[in-house]
Amino acid sequence: MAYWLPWVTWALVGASLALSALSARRGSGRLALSAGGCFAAAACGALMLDWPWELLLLCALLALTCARVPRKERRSEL
Amino acid sequence: MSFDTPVYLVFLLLTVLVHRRCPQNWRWALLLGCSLVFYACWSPALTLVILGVVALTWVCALRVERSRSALARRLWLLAAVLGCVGLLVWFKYFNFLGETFAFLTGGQWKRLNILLPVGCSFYTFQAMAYVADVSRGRLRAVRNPGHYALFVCFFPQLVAGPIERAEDLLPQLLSAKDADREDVDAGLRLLLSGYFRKLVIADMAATAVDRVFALAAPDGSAVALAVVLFSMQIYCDFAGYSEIAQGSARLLGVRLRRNFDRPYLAQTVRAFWRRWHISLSRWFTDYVYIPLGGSRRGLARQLLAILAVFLLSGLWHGADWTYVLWGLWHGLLCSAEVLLHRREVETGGMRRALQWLLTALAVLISWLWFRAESVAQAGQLLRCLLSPWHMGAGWQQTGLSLTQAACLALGLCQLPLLHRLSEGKRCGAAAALFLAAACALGWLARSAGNVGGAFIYFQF
Repeated sequence: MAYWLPWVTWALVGASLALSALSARRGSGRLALSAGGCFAAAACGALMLDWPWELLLLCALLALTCARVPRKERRSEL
Repeated sequence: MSFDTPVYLVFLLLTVLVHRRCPQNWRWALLLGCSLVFYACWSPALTLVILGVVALTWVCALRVERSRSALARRLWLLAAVLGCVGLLVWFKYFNFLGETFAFLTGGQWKRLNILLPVGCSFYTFQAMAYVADVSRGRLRAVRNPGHYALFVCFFPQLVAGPIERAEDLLPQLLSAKDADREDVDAGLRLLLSGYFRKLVIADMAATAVDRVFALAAPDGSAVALAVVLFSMQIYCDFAGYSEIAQGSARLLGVRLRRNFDRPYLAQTVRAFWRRWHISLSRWFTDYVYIPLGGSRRGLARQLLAILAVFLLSGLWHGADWTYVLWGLWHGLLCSAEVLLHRREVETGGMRRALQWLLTALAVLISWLWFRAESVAQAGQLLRCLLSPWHMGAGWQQTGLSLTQAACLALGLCQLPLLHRLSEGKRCGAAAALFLAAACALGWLARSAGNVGGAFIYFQF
């Protein structure tokens, strides 16, 4: 297995977290899709590295936490 | 065919697609056929039992309506109730009654191998409520047996509720309207929220709970953690099931009633029961509590009615003394609240927090009885709970890895988001995307680890 694969996989996970947070802040569907794309690529890396499913689930839950209620929506509700 | 299998999703998709193409006059027949196929996947032979209940209650309701004297009406109602209760006694309580009788007389009871039909407790209650409503004049008896069979067998709510009323469900099933865009949106939201509750939270919590309850003498801290996790497991398992049922029905243009309303935020045990398994609580209120006099015939009668309702509710959940004690515990707590005039308060932060804490503790303790395999095990676990705690050993006994614990904690943090989602409020595209991803990964983690399993309420 290539030595750089774990680093790239973690970078993709990090990118998906950042993009999901940004998507929530701006209410952008495109950014959400980009975050999903990064996460899908990270999942492929994780599969090749034979990571446990729980670890990937944890990453998805972290991304979900970043992508909670869009801030604009929260302000308008208040 | 369980809701948490891929086969169900394929079945639902096909049903929705064919339902949209089907002429409106025949949609009820299509749904009835699909519902019978859905049920026959569990056990083809036991489909005859549900059809027997349908036939019995359909005939009794027609006879009730046609009877001229009050006595005849009551006799036909009694026939329907005895038929349904008799069926429950045979399939669910026969061994329990035999064992209790043998225990009291000092004899031996050889258990009979009786297979409980899936959803028996739910569809018999729904059918009995229908005949009772006809006898009270609240509803006209359904003439077409196929229409009535669909009301009892409608697949999204057949196996574990919500227990629907004919006046709400029948007109929707017979109008056979197309699911509009709003319905599809709400249905998908409910499905997403329901699957997340089941696959991510309930199944993850189940691994730790099962491990601790299988130990002979676990540490007190492990028991405490297992009881807290079980409270989350059973809530997410059943609320998740209910949301999947609601979502599936909504995709077919049918609205089912809400079964849960954030029950753990209740400040009193009575309020907890207004928020937990709402359809069953309303059933017991309408058909047991009020006919027994409710709150209008004095305090003693009211307390008696409350105890009767909760004892029956305990027995409804399972044929074991642990369930009876669980029901009795809730009955006593509700009676105490009536006697002390304890109500939910709107103001006073400290008082509200204290009320909530007391209620949460009372409910948590009751889950220990509910989950225990026997009264002896419940007593043993209570003793462990009250003995000195060793946090490190307790944590190890749950068998949770750090990753799993973090997943569980993060999953629980999403409950407010799930509530928004099922209420139809906006949640953002990224959140919806990652919710779906988490559901898929939760399912894969469950399959890989061979953990989780059927919905808890399927056994009732």
